[in-house]
Amino acid sequence: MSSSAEREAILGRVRDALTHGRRNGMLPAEEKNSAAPYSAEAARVVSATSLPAELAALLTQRIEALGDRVVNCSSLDHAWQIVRQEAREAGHCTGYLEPALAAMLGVKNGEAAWPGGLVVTAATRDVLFDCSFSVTQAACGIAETGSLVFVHGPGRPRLGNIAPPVHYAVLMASDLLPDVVDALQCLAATPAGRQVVWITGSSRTADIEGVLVRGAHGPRSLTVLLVAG
Amino acid sequence: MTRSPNTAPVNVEDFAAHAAADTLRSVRVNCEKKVDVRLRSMADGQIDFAALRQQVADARTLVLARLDHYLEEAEQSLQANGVHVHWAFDAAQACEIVVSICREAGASSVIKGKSMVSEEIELNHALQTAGFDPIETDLGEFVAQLDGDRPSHIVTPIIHKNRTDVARIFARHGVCEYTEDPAELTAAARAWLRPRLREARVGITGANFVVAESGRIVTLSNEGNVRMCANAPDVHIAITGIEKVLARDEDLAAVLKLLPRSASGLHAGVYMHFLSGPRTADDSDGPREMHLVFLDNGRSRLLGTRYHDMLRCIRCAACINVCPVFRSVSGHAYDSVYPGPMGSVLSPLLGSDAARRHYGWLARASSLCGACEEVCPAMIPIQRMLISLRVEEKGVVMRAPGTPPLLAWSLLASMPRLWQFMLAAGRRVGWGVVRWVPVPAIRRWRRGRDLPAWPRQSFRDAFRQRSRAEGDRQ
Repeated sequence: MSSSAEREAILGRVRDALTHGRRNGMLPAEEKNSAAPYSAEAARVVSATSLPAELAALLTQRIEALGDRVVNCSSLDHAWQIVRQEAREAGHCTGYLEPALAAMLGVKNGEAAWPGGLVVTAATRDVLFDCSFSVTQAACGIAETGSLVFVHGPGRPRLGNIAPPVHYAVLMASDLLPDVVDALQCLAATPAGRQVVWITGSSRTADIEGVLVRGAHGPRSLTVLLVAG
Repeated sequence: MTRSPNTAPVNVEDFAAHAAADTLRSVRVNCEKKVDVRLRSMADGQIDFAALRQQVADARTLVLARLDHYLEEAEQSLQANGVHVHWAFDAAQACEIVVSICREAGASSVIKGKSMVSEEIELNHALQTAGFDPIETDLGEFVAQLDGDRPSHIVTPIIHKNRTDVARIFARHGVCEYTEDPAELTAAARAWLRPRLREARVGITGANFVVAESGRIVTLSNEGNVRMCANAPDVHIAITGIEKVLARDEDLAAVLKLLPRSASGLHAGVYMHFLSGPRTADDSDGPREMHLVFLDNGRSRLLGTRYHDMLRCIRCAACINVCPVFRSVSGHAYDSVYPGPMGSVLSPLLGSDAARRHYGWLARASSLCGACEEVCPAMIPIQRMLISLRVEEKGVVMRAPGTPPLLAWSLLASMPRLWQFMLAAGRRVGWGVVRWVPVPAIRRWRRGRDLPAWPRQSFRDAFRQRSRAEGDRQ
């Protein structure tokens, strides 16, 4: 383990190098209260819309361009109905449903939600590695990039949207943000200790000859269940 | 820093002359694809590249100017989030720290997300020596590891291999039956690595950025392996350079818009991950222990010098993909973890003093075309730095064989009358004389270059004649 000696040595070298740089004119003189010479707002896409219908359309366009799906749902129940139907058609055995969603839908852990299949709402690492699909809720979406923002914490395990091979992401249309700048403001407001991930499409790689292949380590398919309201 | 530096300077031309034609073709074709996708994503009308790169440059400059302050702030924030912060002066110390954490965790196998810093410190070698089994999970790194090869690019490790190579490697190591289909190969790698991802006690990743104010560690990946390595095992270790700090969460805006486009032509990385600490009492998964190792390894030496701005680099590899020299010689020609333009500046300056002798010549492996500067999202003046390195290296590094003697030229160029005489002689006699000069260095130098045709007249005579003719006409 490093001791404070290494820490002091490194920080000392950094300080000395910067002082030396200022003295010989390589760096500007130090300003004690240096404010950033830019505003993060300037990174915003100029033509960005903030109309909900247009945000949804843009998000859909981005996600479909990545080869993934957006399914418009009239309600949360409708979304869950679609999931169960597809699980039955695909012959899935187990699916993970986030506890918060399960509570809203009135679904119990271990319930036979479709013929030949079980829903799990209590997650451990092994459960998440073994189940065929997961259904998790995004805190918000970023229309500009087609990203879904997930905030982890109680009832929202980190591996829930990465370990299972098929991922359904529930997103309320009212939770759509226009730009990355907005999402970073939310990030800054998210309490420390809550891991956040922005997911843009399903897992992919182009390491072999630049040929795009889906489903590297994360889910090979992502379906966004966009719930109106 | 990497392949044990010997005193002979790196010579990219020699390497390329002996490299397999397949390798060079793979590199050329793959680089062209990458440049293409980058351009398309930058020119889609969604962003203003010039404005965003200015922001990235400003955000990084701000931090580097007071790096000590931001490092201390980052340390406090990280510790408040429950992350153990370690400081490593050099590669050996960094390896020691990681090995000791693995020992305490009782690990046997260790999974690794892609980290160029871990390559820089030769971490896999140290882990193996200490009795651990490091497993690369990034597809390109996995292939390279199986083959006993090294990555040749900081974003696409096997840019120098084609599907036949990967097929042979996988078949030889029992990963799958021989197939050249990239989708089947990727699926085979996924199936092979998944149980190992599940069982490992320790996961090691890099960190693209550390935000000082919030103590968040930011990682970007498209495969998902970095998320797995950071969240599946009991212990997560992140290693990064001391320069990878940003001041606040909002400073990520310009960076997150440019980095995925520059690196892979995507609007956003598939998994942009903002880690803030180990598992809390509320979490049902995640590592119970999280560590961050800040590595110096010569970075503090660049601060306040004419190479200070190189520390702005966000490791997108746009400069590497566009470099005509890189495309012609391939990454391994640089014999360094960091190839191409950014590597030609960093390789001689990081690590030990021996690195300077070994890599100093890389500054000359450039035609100074400036393509790298045009694409750099952090506006790093790479050309200026390469020229500085050349000037500095003049007395230090042995001239690589094949450099023609320039003393004669510099004498001629400083004596105007002699210069004029030589030009007049050349107009009479042509290049004939030079062709016969038995200096091997000049012969070699001429091998890849066409000499211009001698004009009938000198420019001054032609200009005088023309002016007279125009005067007569008037």
